[in-house]
Amino acid sequence: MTWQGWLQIALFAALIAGVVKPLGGHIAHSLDGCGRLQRALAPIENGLYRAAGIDPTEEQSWVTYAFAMLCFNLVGIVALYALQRLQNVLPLNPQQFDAVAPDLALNTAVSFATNTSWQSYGGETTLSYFSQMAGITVQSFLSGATGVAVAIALVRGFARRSAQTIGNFWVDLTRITLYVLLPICVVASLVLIWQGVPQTLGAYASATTLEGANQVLARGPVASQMAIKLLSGDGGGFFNANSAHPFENPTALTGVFEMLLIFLIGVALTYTFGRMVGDQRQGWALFAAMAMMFAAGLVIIYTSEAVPNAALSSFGLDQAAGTLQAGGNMEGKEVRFGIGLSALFATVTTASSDGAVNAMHDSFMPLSGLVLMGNMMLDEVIVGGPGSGLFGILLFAIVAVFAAGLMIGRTPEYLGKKIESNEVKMTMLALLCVPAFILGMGAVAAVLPAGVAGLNNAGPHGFSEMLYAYTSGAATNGSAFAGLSANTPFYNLTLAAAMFAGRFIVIVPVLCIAGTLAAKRIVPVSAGTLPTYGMQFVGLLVGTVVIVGGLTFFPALALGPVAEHFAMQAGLTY
Amino acid sequence: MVLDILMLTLLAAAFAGAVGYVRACDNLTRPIANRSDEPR
Repeated sequence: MTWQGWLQIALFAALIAGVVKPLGGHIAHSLDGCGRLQRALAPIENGLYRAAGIDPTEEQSWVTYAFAMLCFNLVGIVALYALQRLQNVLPLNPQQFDAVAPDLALNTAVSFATNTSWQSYGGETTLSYFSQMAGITVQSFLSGATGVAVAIALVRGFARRSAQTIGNFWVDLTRITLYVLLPICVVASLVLIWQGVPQTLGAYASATTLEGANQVLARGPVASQMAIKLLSGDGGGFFNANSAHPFENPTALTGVFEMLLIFLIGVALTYTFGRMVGDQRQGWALFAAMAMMFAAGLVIIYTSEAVPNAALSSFGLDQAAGTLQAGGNMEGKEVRFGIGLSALFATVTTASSDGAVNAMHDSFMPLSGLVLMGNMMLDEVIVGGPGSGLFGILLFAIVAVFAAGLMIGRTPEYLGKKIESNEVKMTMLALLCVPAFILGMGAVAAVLPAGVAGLNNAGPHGFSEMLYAYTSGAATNGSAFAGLSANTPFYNLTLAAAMFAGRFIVIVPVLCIAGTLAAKRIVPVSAGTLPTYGMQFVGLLVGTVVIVGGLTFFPALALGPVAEHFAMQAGLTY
Repeated sequence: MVLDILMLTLLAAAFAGAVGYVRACDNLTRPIANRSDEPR
C-alpha cells in the first residue's frame, strides 16, 4: 500500500461526500417538477406527454405502475433484439458487422434493458455504431431511469398516508431522464472528450506502428456511451476491455471521474430519500450504512492486492512497491492505474450495480474475489445502482426493524409506518428469490457439461468463475470475472434468465410494498418507537445485511474463493 | 428465423411469468376475503 493510493481513495471519498446533498436535492426537485431547469424544459416534457397521450396528473396504483414498467421494459428488450438482428442492413455500420446471433442478441437485449450490462460480446468486434447508439446507449438511459422511478415509488409509499397511488411511472421516467440523466451525461461526455475519449462516426483508423506493422484502431461514438454507462449503472463498455481500454479511460483524472459517475446517483438518492420522508437523518443513516460496508470491502481488497503474491514470491520476483513499479499483485491490472485505483475501481463497480472494470477481476487474489462477489451478493445495497441501491437497502431496513420488533416485543415501525405481514412477505420474496437463482443456476452450470465447458480454470477458481457470472447477472451488476467463455447458447440463455429474474423478481415486490405502505396511516412516535437514525440503527442495518448475505452465500463462497485462498497458501494454484 | 421465433417465445414466456408474478403479489397482499382464489 502506498500513500498515493490512500490519497486517491481519500480524494474519491471527499468528492462523493460533497455531491450527495446538491444532487440529492436536485433529484427531489426534478421529481416535483419545480426546479429552475424543470421550468425551462417544461415545454419539452409536456410535449412528450402530449405525443404519448399521457395525462401527467393521473396517479397509478402499484399494480398499474408495475404493469407500465414491465410493458415498457418488454418493448425495450424487443427493440434492442431487433436492432442487433438487423444491424447488417441498418445504417452506421462502417465495419460491415454481420447480424448478431439470436442467443447473443437476446442475452444482450435482456442485459441492457435490465440495467445489468453483462457482455458476452466484444463491443468493437460485434456491434455497429447504430446498435451501440440507438440500442445500448438508449437502454442505458431507460433502464437507469426505471430503477430510480421504482425507488422513488417506494419512498412515496413511506411518505404518503392513506393513499391508494404511488405516482405515475411515465412521469417519473420522463423527469428522471430529462432532468437528471441527460444534463449530467452531456457535461460528463464533454469532460471525457476533453480528456481524450473518442467521439466520432468515422470508421476505425489504421496506423503504422514503430515496428512498421499495420494496426487497426477501433473507435466510434465512445464518450456519449461512456457517460451513461457509468451514470446509469449499466457499465457495458464500448470496447471489450471496458474501462481498462485507453480510449475509455485515458487518464488518472478520468479514472476518478468515472468512479464518481458510477456512485453519483446511488449516493445522492439517500439524501433525496431523507428529503421526501421529511427527516434528513433517515437518509444520512442509510448513507452511513453504505459507507461502512464499502469501506470494509475496500480495505480488504486493497490490502489483499498490495501484498506480494505468495505463489510468485517463491520464484524470487521483486514485488515490492517502489519508484519504478506499483508492487503487489499487478497481474491483470493496468500499470498506469496501479494497485490503488484498480482496487478502488473494483470495489466501486461491484458495490454499485455498474459492472464497468479497469482491471481483470479474475486475476485478483482469492480474498479480493470473495469481497467482489460478496458486494454483489449483498443484493446491491452498498450504494447499488441508480434506484436499486436505495430500494435494496430499504428492504433490509424493513428486515432490521422487523427483527428488532420481534426482540423487544413491539409491532415494528419504520418512518411511522407499521411493518406488518404483507410487507415482510414481499421483502422476503425479494431478498430470497435472487439468491435462489444465483445458487441454483450456479449449481446447474457446475454439473452440466455445457456449463463446465466454458471454464478456463479448474478447481475452486473455475467454480468462482461460474458463481461470479450468475451473481453478476442476477444482481444486475454485469461485471465479468473474465475467465469464463460465456458466449455459448447455454450461458447466453441461462444468464439472460438470471438477469430477467434478478431484476423483476425484486422490483415487483418493491412496488407492492410501496402500495401497501402508501395506504397506511402514519403512527405517531412513542416511547416504544425504535429510532431509525443514529449509529445504533446503522449498526443494526449493517449487521442485518451482513448476516443475511453471509448465511445465504457462505457455503458457496467456501467452495470457491475461500478454498482457493487456503490452496494458494499451500502452494496450489489453478 | 426459427431461432428468432424461439428467442421471442422465450421472452414472451418470461413476460407472462412476470405478469403472473404481479398478480400473485397483488393477491397475496389483499385482505383474505378479497383474494381471487377465495370462495365467494
